[in-house]
Amino acid sequence: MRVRGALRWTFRSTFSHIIGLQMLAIAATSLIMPLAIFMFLNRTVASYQLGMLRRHEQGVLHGLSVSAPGAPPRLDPAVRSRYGPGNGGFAFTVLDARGALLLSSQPDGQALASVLRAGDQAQTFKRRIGAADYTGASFPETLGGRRIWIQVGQNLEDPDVVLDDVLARFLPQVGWLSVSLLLLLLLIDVLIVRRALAPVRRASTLAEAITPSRIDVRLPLEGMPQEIAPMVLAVNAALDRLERGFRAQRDLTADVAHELRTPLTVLRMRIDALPDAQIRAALHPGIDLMGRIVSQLLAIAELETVVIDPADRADLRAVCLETAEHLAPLAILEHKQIELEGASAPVWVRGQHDFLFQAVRNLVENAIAHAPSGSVVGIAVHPRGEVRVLDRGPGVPPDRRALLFQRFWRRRDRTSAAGAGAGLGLSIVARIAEQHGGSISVEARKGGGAVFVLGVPLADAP
Amino acid sequence: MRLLVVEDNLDLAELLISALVRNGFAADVMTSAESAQEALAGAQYAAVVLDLGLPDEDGLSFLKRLRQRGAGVPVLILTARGGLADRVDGLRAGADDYLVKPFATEELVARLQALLRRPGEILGRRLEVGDLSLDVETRQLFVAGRPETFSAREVDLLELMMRRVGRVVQRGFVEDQLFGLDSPVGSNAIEVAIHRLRKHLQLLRARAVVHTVKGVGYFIAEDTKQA
Repeated sequence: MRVRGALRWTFRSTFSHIIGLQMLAIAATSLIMPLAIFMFLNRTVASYQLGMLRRHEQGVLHGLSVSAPGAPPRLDPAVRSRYGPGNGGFAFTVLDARGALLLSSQPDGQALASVLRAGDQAQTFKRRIGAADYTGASFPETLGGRRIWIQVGQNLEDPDVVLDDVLARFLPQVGWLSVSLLLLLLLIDVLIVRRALAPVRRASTLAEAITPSRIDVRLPLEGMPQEIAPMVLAVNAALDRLERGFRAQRDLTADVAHELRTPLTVLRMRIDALPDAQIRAALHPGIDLMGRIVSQLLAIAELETVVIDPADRADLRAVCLETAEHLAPLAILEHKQIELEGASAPVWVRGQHDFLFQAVRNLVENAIAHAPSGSVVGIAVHPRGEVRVLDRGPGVPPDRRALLFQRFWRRRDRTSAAGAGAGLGLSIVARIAEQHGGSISVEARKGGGAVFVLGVPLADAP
Repeated sequence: MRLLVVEDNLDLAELLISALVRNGFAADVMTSAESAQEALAGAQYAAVVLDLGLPDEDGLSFLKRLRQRGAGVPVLILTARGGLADRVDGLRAGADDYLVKPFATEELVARLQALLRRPGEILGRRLEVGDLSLDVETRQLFVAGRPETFSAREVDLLELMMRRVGRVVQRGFVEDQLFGLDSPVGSNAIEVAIHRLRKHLQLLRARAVVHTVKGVGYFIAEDTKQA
C-alpha cells in the first residue's frame, strides 16, 4: 500500500510539474508575444510612415523655387493644391534654418513642430494641434544655397488614415488567438503525458500483485517509455534475484520439516513402546507438538506457492462438518465439547476444500486449547460465507488482536506446550484467508471468550 | 494375519514390526521396492504398509505397478510428505489409506484394523471399546467379559459406532443405517435411542461412553474418567 501511494504521488507530481511549467510558459508567452508583435508592427508602421512622409517632402521640395538668392521661396500651386481637406490628412510647413516659418499648408499658418535641433538627420515628431494628433518628420534640405527645414505631418484623425486603427484592432485579436492556441497546446500536452505514463501505471498495478506467493510476476517492458525501460529491467532483475533467494529459503523450510518427520516417527514409536503408561503420557504432548510444528511448517511452505483458482469452489458447511467430526474426539479427550450450528444447506465459497479445512481446523484447535475444561467450542456457519469459532477461554485483549495472526506469536501467559498451537496455526489461517480473498478477525464474545471470524467470498452454486 | 512392511529406515522398520506384533499381527519387513516385489510374489499378505521414500524406487510408482498387475491387497502408505497434493496423489495411485509421519502407534494399528475390516476383506470378529466388546457374528455384547442383553436397535447403534472407534459417525449416516430410507423418522428418534443406550451403558457401569457432537453426530470412546 505504501509503495502504491508513493508511486502515485510521484506520478502526480511529475504530471503537475509538467503542467505547471507549461502554464507558466503560456502566461509568459501570452504577455511577451503581443508586446513583441506590437513592437515589430509599430516599427514597420513607423518606417512605412517615414517613407510616405519622405515622398511628400520630396514632392514639396521639387515644387519649391527661389527667384533670387535670399528671396523667400515660392511653391508651385499644383503642389500646394495637394494639401487640404480630403488629401489623406497630410500637411507641410517650410522653415528656415533658425526655425522661422517660410511656408505652411495649415490654415492657421503655424509650424507643425516648433523646436528643431540642429543636424542633418530627419527628425520625427508627434504633436497635438487643435483636436488632431499629428505624426510627422522634419527633413533638412538646401534650397538655393540656404538651409531650410521641410516638415511633413499627417493628421491621424483623418478618416483616410487607417494604419493606426488596424494596429489597434489587430493586436487584441492576436492576443486571444495566441492564448487559445497555447491552451490547446496545453491540453494536447496533458493527453500526451498521460498516454506516455499509462504503461507505467499498468506496471505499478501489476507490481501490487507481487506477494510471496506471486513472486513470479514481472513488469512488462512493452509500450514502456524508453526513459523508464531501464528501471523496469532493473526492477525485474531485482525480482529475479529475490525469487531465487525466496525459493531457496522456502525449500529449506520444507526440506528441514520433511527430514524431521522420520526421526520424529521413530521417537514417537519408541515412546509408544515404553511399558510405563505414566512416562508415555508425559512424553506424548511434546512429541505431538513437534509433529504439529513440522506439519505446520510444511503447510506454510506449501501455502506460499499455492494460488487459488478463481473457478475453485468449496462447501464451507461441509468443511466445518468435517472439522467438527475430526476434532470432536480430541476435544472430548480434554473434557470439552464441540457444537456445529448455523447453515443447514451447503454454503458455496470460492476456494479449495482442503485449505479451508486447514484454516477452520487451526481455528478450532486454537479454541479447544484455550477453552476451559467442561466448556463448549462452537462452530457456526453463516450462509454469507462466514465461519465463527466461539470459545469461553480468556479472550484476546484488543491490543493483541493484530499480533495474533503473525507467525510465532503466542499468548505469553501460556506456558504449557500441551495442546497449544505452535504459534503457527493462526498465521496459517491468516495466510489461507488472504489467499482466498477472505478475511480473519477476532472479537470479544458476549459473556466471555473469543470469537474468530473467517470470511470467504461466496461462489455460485455448482 | 500377515502384513508386509516396506520401510528402508531400519530403526523405524524394527519399531513397526514390534508394534504390530504387540497388537496381534505377524509382519515381514522389506527394505527396498525390489525385495518387496519378490516377497509379494512369493506369499499372501493381508495388507502392505508402504513407506513412500524407498532407496531404489519411488513408493508411488511401486504402488502403481502393483495395482497394474491387479494386486488387490490393501495398502497403507506412510509418508513424510504431508502436502494436500501428495495425499491426493497417494490415493490416486491406489493406496487405501494414508498416514503422515509422525503418527501414533495406536493410530497405525487402528487404521490397519479398519483396512482389514473392509467389505471383501477378513472381518474382525470382535469390536472393542473400553471394557465393552461386541461379537459381530453372534451380535452378543459383553461388559467386562460378562454377556449382557441389549435390544436389537442398541446393538445396531453400537456396531455403527464401534466400527469407527474414536471417530464421529455422522447423524445422517446413523439415520440411514438404523431406520432406512423408506421409514422417515421424527427428528428426535435417534436422540431418544442414544439417550437410552447411554443410560443402559451407565447402568451396567461399562467403561465406554457415547458422546454427542451437536450438529455433527455421535461417537463412542473409552470412558477415561473411570479408567
